[in-house]
Amino acid sequence: MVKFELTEDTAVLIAVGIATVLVLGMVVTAAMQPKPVEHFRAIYVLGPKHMASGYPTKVRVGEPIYVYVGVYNSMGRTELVRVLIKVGANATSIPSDTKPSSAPTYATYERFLASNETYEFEGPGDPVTIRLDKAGMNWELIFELWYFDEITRSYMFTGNWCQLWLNVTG
Amino acid sequence: MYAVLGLIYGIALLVRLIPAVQFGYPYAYDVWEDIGRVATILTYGHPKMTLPHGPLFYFLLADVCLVFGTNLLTTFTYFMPFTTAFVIVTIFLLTKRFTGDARAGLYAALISATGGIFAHWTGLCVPEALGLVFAAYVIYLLFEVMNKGGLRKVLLLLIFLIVTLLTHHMTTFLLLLSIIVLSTAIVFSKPKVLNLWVPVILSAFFILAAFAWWEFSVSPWTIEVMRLILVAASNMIWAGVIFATIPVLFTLVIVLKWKPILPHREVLTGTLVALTFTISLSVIIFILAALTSYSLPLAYVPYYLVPFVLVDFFPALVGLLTILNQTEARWKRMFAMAWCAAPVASIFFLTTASYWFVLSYRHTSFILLGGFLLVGLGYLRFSQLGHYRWRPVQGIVFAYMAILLVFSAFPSPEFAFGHEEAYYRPELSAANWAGEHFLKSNSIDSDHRMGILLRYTTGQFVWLGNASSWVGNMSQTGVVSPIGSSIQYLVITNSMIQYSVTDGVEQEGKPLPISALRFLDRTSNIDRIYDSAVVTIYQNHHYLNTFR
Repeated sequence: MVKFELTEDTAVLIAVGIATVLVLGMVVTAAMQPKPVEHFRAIYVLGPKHMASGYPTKVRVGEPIYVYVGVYNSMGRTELVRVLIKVGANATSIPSDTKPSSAPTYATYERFLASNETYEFEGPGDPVTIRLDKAGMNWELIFELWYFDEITRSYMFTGNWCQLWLNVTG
Repeated sequence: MYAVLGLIYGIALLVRLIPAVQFGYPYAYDVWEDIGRVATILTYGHPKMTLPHGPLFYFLLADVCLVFGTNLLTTFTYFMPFTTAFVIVTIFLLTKRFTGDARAGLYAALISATGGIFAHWTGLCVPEALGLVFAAYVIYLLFEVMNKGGLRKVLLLLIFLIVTLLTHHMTTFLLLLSIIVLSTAIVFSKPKVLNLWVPVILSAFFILAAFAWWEFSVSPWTIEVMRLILVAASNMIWAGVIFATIPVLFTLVIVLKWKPILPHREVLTGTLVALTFTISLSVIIFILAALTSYSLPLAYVPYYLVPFVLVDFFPALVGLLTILNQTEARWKRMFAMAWCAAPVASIFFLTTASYWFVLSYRHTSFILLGGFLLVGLGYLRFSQLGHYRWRPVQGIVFAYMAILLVFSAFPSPEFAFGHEEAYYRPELSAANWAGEHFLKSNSIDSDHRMGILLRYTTGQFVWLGNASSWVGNMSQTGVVSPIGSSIQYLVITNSMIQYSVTDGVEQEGKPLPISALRFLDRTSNIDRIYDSAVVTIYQNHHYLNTFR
């Protein structure tokens, strides 16, 4: 029968053994924890050439404005999303992370977005067309992202929004 | 014994894999700069610029991608922990040879496996990680050469010195500085054995070789950083030199004049010195916090100081006192201390002569590497205290002490010196969007953390939150100013608002004030073109008007 003796080797063996178990536990815990802030939505606006440039800065009344409005769903589930295009002026109705803009709505777009899907309104290769019928300085086109909340059965503002500034001449 | 060493390798590997397992992509933002450089090598077959730290790391990673067929992100996420975890083997061998006890080697290996900022730096896929692994081999081989000699080992030593030189400049610099400090003891002792003169010979020849290599290969960015350090230090250069000499002279006097203090009662002496040191250091930190503008959160002090003092410093002190009391050979005494004394001298220079003192935090991993030998011996002494029936309890305590270090290896954002080391997926997603949709040949403003990711995805110039950057200036001054026409895109992250606008090493990071965000949202020539959970992208019209 092997006799177990307590020596200085015992301390080393126990230290390494317990450290191995503890570190293994830490790694398993880290692996099992959800990835930080995995779930998010995004909204973006692109210019008429489908690049982040060439945004309208000066248009005439009634002149068409072409922009691509994109939304991305990384919530890990299919979602019904809504984009509201609002027209404000002189920074009087800027949204915040929690509160949407109080400016009047110009147009509404809706779409079921699968998880990890990106979609651009009004469709692939087809930009959104906006016409402003009143002249003025420092108009804002505000693009707000909303989603349909299953619990409250209503649309909720995500806190994500974009904004283009432009002058409209007569 | 080798089975236990195998287990310790497993611990080292698992600790270094924690961020990879947690996030699934490379941890820390410095890594993304290196990914960009390796991507260039894979695309063009050669780098398109002078590689800043030395070429070896970049070519090694490119080779790994080619040989194993793994993509860049997978390689950068998982390759380095497997490689750098081998550092524990070298630390084990060095400690075992130096102390003549394999158990001291195992303790040293265990602490280096979990070891705080050492595990942090050797876990990241950056040139410094590989540099530290090679430096460990240099230290071990130098000891073997000095102790026993042998041409084969001299040749191996030279090879590893060259490999370190080709891998990371700062590690090479600290290695050379340590060899010079070691040489001072040799020169004063005037030994008759040729082996012991090896550090002196290396100091003379390898410094010339290193400077010749740096002259031809060092990148303009590194030269600029060195120039800035010297310019900043020019007014106080003598103060820096004098203060840097203090730790070297102190070490030398200890080595040459040491008389045994309470022999065989080193744990008691070590406890008293460690307590005095901790109290003094805490007082100094609190005084500095009160007197200077550098706003270090006080919670950092216990978070980093307690594990360091308890797990590293205290055992190292006991190990050092044991060596000094029991070793007659002066070169051995100096060998045990030089690897810590030299980087401390460098820190003293940076702290007193220049505002570049923040660079000194990069020295800590090298100091820890140099100190593991002492730490191992210290734990061996602890394990010999008391009756044999206490050995299992001692083992359990040592295990928990080792684990305590893991928490400071990869700290949570609130303890990561104002930075969020890892990226969030919305940030990666936004950076990819920028890469697809930003116009080329434009400049982007962001901070260092987000900026280097954008450099990788867009391939464009990015201001990294420094003095020329709008977000950098806003965070530093808090005063709203117009955005210059040289900036087209601004990429703002939650990390900048919540923690700080990081700018690398030039200045202490401060958060972006809310007034800056109000300015961006309410200024009529700035469009808000992208928004997600933690990233907002703006475009500056003024740029278009000027350059259209």
